Amino acid sequence: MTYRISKDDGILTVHVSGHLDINSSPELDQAIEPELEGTTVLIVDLANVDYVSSMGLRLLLSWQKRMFKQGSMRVVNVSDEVKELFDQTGFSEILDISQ
Amino acid sequence: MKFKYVRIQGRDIASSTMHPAGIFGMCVRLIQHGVMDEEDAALYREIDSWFVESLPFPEPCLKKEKVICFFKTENADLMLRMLNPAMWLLDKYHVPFYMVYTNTPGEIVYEDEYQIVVKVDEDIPVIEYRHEWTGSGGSI
Repeated sequence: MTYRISKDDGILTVHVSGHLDINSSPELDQAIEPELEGTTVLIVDLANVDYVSSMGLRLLLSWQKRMFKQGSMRVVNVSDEVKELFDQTGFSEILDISQ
Repeated sequence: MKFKYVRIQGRDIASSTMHPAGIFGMCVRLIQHGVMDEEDAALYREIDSWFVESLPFPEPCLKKEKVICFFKTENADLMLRMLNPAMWLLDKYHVPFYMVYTNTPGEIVYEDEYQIVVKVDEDIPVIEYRHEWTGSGGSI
């Protein structure tokens, strides 16, 4: 997994590539956590994510919970495979998703 | 017909209430019995923590009284959406569950904006199955 972060005037964008799973999620969590301070819009770009495990879902949920309180979160460029997972798990009804 | 209350519960009886266990209890049981793997357990805890942070914790539950909880359907939209992943987890581990809707949940002992807590009937005798019941000449 690799990631790239950009922040501009309260808008934090996270571009993630690869697997979002038990190996990669803790690292990404640690990297994003301090950046969430003062963030009002979080955009999670999953364009190059081909697999999300339950740990990846947990991470997305933790960000969504935080952003419920301080702004909004959008998950963008979701592949068909990941969208199917979001549909199966009910995450499509929690997250603001666009493909 | 529109129902005022909804509860997600399974088939197994909770020993504390002698009523079907609710969705949180079912997930916790999977974790405690080592059935749910580490990643899924972490996801469940994330879901659970949202409820802990977002809902008042009813006093009768805190005191471990013989009660069960229902959500108010009029305010349950976000809660049921947040429970979707927990329902997916139950399904993943082949735990059957039901959405139980009612307008007559029983004696309400606690109520807030989102939920009610209902006293369960303590007089229902629940006896564990004994092999002799199905043996020759056996009786309850």
